Amino acid sequence: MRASQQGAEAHKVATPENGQPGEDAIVPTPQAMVEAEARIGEGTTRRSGISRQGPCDLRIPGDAGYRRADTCRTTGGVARTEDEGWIDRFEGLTNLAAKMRTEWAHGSQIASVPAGAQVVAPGQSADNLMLLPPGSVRVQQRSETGREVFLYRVHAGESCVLTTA
Amino acid sequence: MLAFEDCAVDGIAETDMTAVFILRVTSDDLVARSRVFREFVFPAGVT
Repeated sequence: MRASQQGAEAHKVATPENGQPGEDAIVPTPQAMVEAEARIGEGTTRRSGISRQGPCDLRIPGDAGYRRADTCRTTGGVARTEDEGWIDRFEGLTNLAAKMRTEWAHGSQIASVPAGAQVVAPGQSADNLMLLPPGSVRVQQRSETGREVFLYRVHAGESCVLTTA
Repeated sequence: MLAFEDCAVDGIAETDMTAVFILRVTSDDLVARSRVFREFVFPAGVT
């Protein structure tokens, strides 16, 4: 635990209680594009993402395929996608200027999310704006008695007002 | 523009999906600079 605390303080990262030097750590979300740009090339592994209840696969741009990740909680990493093709999946984004398309693609990340995965959890801050090309997300709240209360669904092409409020 | 308050709800994927995550800094910048982006995010299909 002491090694974990020392590492967290020295490198300004979050570590698990039993974390050891050399293991993955969570890098706080960059607060400005300049800070995000500065992280490029630091040589650390950056995972974008989602929180979830079970293991999930993340496809991080620049990696050679899908990666099994045991921890998918949002870390605010700066992995990028050079693929602009996803933009055309959203009606309304097809008329973007080429320069804007490139900027959007550079500032986005793609993750493969299995059915049943928890993409948003209580207490989690909105570090990313999530867009769904296909699929749907069920938004619910758990009452004090543990009962799940269905609120609404977010379908492909929609945005969640709770995220962007 | 992304809310800075912690989320109070669960969001569960109902299907296998590939999601696109836009970083907060990028999202905020696009909202400020792009009418197309604002119109895409806010008026259409807001749930």
